[in-house]
Amino acid sequence: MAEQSIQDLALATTFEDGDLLNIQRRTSGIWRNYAMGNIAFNGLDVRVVKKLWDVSLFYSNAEEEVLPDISGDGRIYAPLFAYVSWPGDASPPGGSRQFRLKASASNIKVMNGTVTLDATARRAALGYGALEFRSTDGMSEIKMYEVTGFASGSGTIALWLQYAIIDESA
Amino acid sequence: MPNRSTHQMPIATARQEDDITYIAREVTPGVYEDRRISLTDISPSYFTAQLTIPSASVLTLNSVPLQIIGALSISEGIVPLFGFVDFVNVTVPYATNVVAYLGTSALTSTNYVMAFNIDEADGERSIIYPQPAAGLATANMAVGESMWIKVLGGDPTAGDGDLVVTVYYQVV
Repeated sequence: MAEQSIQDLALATTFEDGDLLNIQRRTSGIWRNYAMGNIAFNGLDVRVVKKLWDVSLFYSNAEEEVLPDISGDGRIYAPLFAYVSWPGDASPPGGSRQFRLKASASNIKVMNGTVTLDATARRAALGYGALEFRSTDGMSEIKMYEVTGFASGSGTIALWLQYAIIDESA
Repeated sequence: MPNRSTHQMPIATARQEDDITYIAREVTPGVYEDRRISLTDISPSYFTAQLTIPSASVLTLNSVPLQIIGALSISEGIVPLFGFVDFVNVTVPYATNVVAYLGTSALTSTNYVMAFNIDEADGERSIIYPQPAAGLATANMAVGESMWIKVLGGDPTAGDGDLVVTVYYQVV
């Protein structure tokens, strides 16, 4: 890898497998450089995903994928924190709309939050929808849909989701 | 300090308190400076606690609650994020008093952090989250407190199988 100053490097917005951080640690009285992976840094494989959708994709309770299906590789998702952001629009869907993150295998809600889709910019944090999810509910894929149902309006809705990937085979 | 690419460096396997990483900050438009940032100023690490509860102990989990995370220092608090429960060696699911709660040693059915059903079949796995509303404010782990697991209403009356309970948490 060619040597570059930090500000010249491409900006990575979230951790990916194999990423290494540069830390400095005082060892035997001397500051030394070490590399560190995401799991070593966080203690857990924590990542963030940001999704932007045309709100029309959620017409009539339609679903959109948030995190892809990783079933079968021994890993599952554990959502930690999420919020949706609505920038406001001249022709909004209107109404108090409930956005829900769901596990793939059923309609059980993982996280849930309500935001009014009108001309005003708004944000809503999503809260956990249940206290317990069993393995039969599946946590190997996360989708988002809107619960109340609407079929008109425009604008771009955003989701930020912080989540952990648990490697059950480890 | 030797000038090497990150991938050429020795690997540090876990954060330590005094580790330093650095960021590039735009101090004036188009002008960047490297600034060090202590790990204590970044999001705390996630920790894991795991407790395997054998069948005999599950059957006394009301009368004999078990500690899953020991108390930290008087200035540190446990912030539970989520947990996993694996059900192994189950031939007959537990019956009666089948909700296990996690919280302080003084937890109640309305004052706890996380809960799950223990009457699952062999091989099941549950992911559990903190309670979102009632009870959380008072059930939150205050500084210096430990985390316990307890079945409420009495001991389970029948059933078998081991519970492997894993809790992910941060320390603040």
